[in-house]
Amino acid sequence: MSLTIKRLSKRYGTFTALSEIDLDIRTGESVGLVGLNGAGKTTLLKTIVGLIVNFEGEVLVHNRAANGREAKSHISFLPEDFSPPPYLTGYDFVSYMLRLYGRPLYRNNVDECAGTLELQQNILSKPIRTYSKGMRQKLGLMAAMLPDTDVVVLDEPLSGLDPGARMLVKDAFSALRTKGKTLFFSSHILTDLEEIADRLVIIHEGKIMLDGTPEELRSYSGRSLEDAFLNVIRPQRTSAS
Amino acid sequence: MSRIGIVSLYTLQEVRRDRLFWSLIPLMCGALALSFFMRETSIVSGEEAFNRSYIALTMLVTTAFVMLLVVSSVYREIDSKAIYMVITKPLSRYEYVFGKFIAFSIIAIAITVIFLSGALALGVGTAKSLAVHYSLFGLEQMIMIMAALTITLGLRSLPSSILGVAGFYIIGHSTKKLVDIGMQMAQEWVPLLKVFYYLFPSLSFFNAQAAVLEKGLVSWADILFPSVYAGAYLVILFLICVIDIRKRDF
Repeated sequence: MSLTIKRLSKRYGTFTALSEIDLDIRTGESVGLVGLNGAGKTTLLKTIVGLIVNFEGEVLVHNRAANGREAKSHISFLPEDFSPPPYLTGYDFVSYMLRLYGRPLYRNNVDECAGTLELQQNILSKPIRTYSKGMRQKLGLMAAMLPDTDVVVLDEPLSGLDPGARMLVKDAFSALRTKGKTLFFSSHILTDLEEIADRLVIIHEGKIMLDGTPEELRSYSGRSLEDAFLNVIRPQRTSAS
Repeated sequence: MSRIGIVSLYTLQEVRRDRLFWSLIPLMCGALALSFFMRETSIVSGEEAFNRSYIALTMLVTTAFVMLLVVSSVYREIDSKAIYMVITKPLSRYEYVFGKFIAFSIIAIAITVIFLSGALALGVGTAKSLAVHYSLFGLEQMIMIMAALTITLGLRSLPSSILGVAGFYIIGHSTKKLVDIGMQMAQEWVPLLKVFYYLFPSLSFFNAQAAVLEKGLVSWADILFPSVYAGAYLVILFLICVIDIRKRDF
């Protein structure tokens, strides 16, 4: 098992962000996390990668506590709305991230990865402050994919990307799946998730409402995935219709 | 290279490309020009006015510049979530703090050495007194850097962090005066005030300006106590920072 979450709860004062979450993700699985804004998606992902340390329950990465060094060496993470240090160049940033994993920078690998995401190689030599939002997101994706970790956790990885770039990123995810990597990512775009996820986890008000395949989600009498999603998180909607 | 070294290296890499970093050159020139201006316009001894201004301005410029650099750089990392990418890697949060501390200390020491060289070249004081003074000032900078890291990582707000660091500096340079006033007012409080004196940052330990200006006797032993005090204070601040950052949710 790549990721094991047992009875995970997280409270901010009186507000419960996550309530008794149980989740297992097997090695090589691609799992999409769906929920409305404020449902607890980012809190769950931050707990897995060790950014949130005050919680109840257990979060294990390859059977090791998630915030330990051993677990962290198996995980790479891309936060939502992230911006790399503006005065570093793209190469510097990728090299920084790789060296923290104890891995050297091979320019060929970086250029190949940049090519996959259609990020021009000459741009990588320029300071990040000159990049567009989409370029920064692609650079973040490169930094998450290049360390070649077993588990890749991504918070809204497709946000800020145009349709063409989204296709490229989805192809890159497919390549990661082929390599047997475990992917766990959140997104608002259900159609994108359907294409890249083996399994969907729907979270609402800090609780898991559905954990199943995209086909199982469709069975919730929805005309579209969005409709089915709303039926899952608001059961009264189904009965009313 | 250790992970602490990697954090330091890339912090230095980023800082040297930061526009704020290059504002140091006009600031240095401004400090020097103002010192010459004081020499020419002073109604008492021009030489003394120059020496006094040079030492005061170089200390002010270094402290203000380094603190602004620390606070803005760390705050930018928090605000842009770049810190998430770093601390989710297989490195401890204390390694991150220590790496940042080393990087900014290198910058502060480099600036201090430049100003010391300037002071020697301009004959602001004797070589020994200047070396002692600027060594002590270097120690003060290290305490201020650790304080700035602790405050910025703790408060995570730019205005509050700037105010917090300024407050630490002001308290640090007022502690001795406040304790002196307190001792004159109530003798029975002397033991308590002494605790207060050592517990609060007493940055007045790190100033040998009087010895430089009055050409008094200084020895390397004068650095000994401040070095021990600075070491102890740095450890305390580092522990506070690490305990806080380890227990903190991001």
